[in-house]
Amino acid sequence: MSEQPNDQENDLLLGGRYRVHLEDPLPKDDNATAAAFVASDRRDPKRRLKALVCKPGLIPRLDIIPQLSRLTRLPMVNPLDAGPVIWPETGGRRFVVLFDHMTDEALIPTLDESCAPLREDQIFHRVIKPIVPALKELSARSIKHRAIRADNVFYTDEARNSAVLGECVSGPPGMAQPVVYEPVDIAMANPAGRGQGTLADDLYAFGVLIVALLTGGDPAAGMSDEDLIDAKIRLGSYTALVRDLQLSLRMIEPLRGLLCDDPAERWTLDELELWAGGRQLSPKQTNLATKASRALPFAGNEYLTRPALSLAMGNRWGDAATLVTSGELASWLRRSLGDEDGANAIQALSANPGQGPNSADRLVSNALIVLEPKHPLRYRGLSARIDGLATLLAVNYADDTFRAAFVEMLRAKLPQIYLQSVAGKGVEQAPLMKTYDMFIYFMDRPQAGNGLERALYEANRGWPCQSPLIGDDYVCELDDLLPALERAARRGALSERAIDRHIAGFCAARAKPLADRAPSLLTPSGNVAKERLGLLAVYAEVHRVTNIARRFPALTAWLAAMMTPVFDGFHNRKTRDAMVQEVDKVGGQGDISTLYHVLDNSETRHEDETGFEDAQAEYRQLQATIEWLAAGGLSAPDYVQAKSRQAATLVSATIAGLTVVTLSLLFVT
Amino acid sequence: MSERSKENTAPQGARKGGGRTIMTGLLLLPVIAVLMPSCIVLAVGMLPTIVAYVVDRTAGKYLTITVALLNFCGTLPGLRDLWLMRQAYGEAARIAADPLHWLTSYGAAALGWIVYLAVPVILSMYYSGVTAHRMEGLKRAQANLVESWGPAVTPQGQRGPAEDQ
Repeated sequence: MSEQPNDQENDLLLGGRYRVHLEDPLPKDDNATAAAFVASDRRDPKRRLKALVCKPGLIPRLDIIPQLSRLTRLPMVNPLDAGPVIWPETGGRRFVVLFDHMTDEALIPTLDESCAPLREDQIFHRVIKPIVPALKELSARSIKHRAIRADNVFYTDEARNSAVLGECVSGPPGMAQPVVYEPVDIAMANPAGRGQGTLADDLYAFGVLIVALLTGGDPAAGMSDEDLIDAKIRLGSYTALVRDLQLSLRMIEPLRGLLCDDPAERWTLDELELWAGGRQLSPKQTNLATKASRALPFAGNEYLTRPALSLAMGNRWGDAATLVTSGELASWLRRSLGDEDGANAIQALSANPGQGPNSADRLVSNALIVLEPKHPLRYRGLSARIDGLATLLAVNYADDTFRAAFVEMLRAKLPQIYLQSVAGKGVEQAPLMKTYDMFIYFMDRPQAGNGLERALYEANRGWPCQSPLIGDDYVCELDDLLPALERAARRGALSERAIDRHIAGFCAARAKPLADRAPSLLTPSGNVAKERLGLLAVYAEVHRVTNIARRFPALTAWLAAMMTPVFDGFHNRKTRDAMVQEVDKVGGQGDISTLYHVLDNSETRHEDETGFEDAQAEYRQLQATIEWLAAGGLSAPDYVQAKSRQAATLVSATIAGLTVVTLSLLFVT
Repeated sequence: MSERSKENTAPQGARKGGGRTIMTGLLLLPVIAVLMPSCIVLAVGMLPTIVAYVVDRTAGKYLTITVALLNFCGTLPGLRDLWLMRQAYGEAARIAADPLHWLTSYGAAALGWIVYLAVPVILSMYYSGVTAHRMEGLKRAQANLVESWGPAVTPQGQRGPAEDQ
């Protein structure tokens, strides 16, 4: 006997097949971006599954989930299915990614734990050999893993003979990575602003993973993130991480290659494959930054290299402006590093720091770009790789302070300046330049449907709508918007507001026909009826472009109730009454498109307008006649006299005629 | 040149009108000659009409027409008697001097005068009634317009149709 699932079970069903068991959490499988739960397959109850429920405010990597779910032979934990489920605790929705449940343990269960170090040959056979083909497969499909770390690589069997890569889709790329697993330029960025990353970043993380397995734990244990980055800059990643570890020459080769700080010099996958195949390759030498002839004192320390100073200036933002404006930085670059161009650029910046309260911040940010263009773009507390700014904004959008800093940074065109400074250095400029120009374009147009919200959804295609009207309902596709609003209407959350800037921006970014139309429809005009009709037009268009056959009774009824000013725009009472009846009927059916067409019937409106103008003219004419009559129009002496003369003549003629006829008859008879 | 043409056309028109009168007079002369007895009876009987014509200052000579029509009816019995006597001059003189003929002719003319004087009074009363009735109808029509289209249809209609509801 098949059991009918109850409502809660239905809510937690993904694709009508997989059920998430919230009562059965898997805390040891949680990561920085998602919480793990046991899941089951309704078609195969014996199958053990794991569901990763993404944290609110974060987005999984929707762009690669479909690809990875097809790569079933890849030695990697691949997603089976993904999508939002209703979250019973809040009534909202959360995005869930389903995996086959790996009963096997991670190479190192938690990153702050220690375990027995592996021998080099064990690492080679258990980790490097099986994982290199996986990286090869991913690379062939232009997929970057960005989550290679010791607690996310798993043994496939109890004998620990082979390992597979863990999942990489439950959060933005690289966000869950500890600083130790990231190269210097990414480690300096905020976790949400690490960008898409490259295969070179995956290979670096793979190198760190090997060091972690050799040391039996975190190779940077006991170090703060800042100290670790500083050590990587000063000593180079290899020296900073390997330290006094005894390694064979054969293992030194890949570690020096993989942990090379210059991505252009770092080992490629081909080189790693060659090495794994037994070829001897010459070890890479640590390529440290050029040291200055004289140290520059800054914030109580002395700095000899540009990257070290750049890191320190970014971390001590307040002191950095003084260093730039005092001319010390320019002088140091010229005299101690022989960088005439850099010194001139810094001098030009400090000579013309600009106007406004944030001129010091802009100055420091610009100076950091000149000082070390390889480092992420920084502005006060904001630090991101140039391709990670959009995700950083999305993750921190609710933070007003962050948003203000982000807008200041965009207004100062710092991303564009950064891109120009790294021109020809391997950064794909054109699409990014277009993206940040787009940000400014929309920010300059503040009406609903444009603004920063529009830019947010344009730059983050899979990002869910952040509107408070739909609460924590997970709406990342336009198809999900009206059902979410329907749910909001049912729980009465739409009683006060009709649409907000987030929904407007989301619709304009996701629905092509609304890209230009939504802002013009939603621009306040002072005419309430026009504004309400504009709002309805947006939702009707969304209904049309998604699935016009779907019905939304609560939302339509709510929209219909909002349309009173539109009815009132019609002058004729009968037309109005007929329209109210029609709208009530359509509202009950839940058809938003039809509701809009009923209210935006141009023929009816035209008839009403012309009828009203005719009625006004008729009223004026009647009034003029009444006034004429009231002023004695008919009883005025002149009028009466004139009419009387004609009437008298007529009476006389009538009598005369009758008399003549009578006399004629008498005469004849 | 245009002045000369005006000078030429005005006398031409006057000559045309005068010529028409003379032509009409010439055509009527044989009729008058043949119907002289009837003309004598008419001349005597239609004296009130001549008086009315003299005193009538209205543009369309309505008084004259009103009196003339009834006055003519009053002379008809006399004319009938005359025509029964084959328009004899003696009979014409008799009828012209007959007080009864005068009474019918002048009585009928008096009736014309009465009609002319009474109709304005009657019409004034009638128009007063019509004015009230028509104003009532017009106001009802205005009220219907306001009911159908709301107060905005009036020139003073500053309020929206919503308030009308």
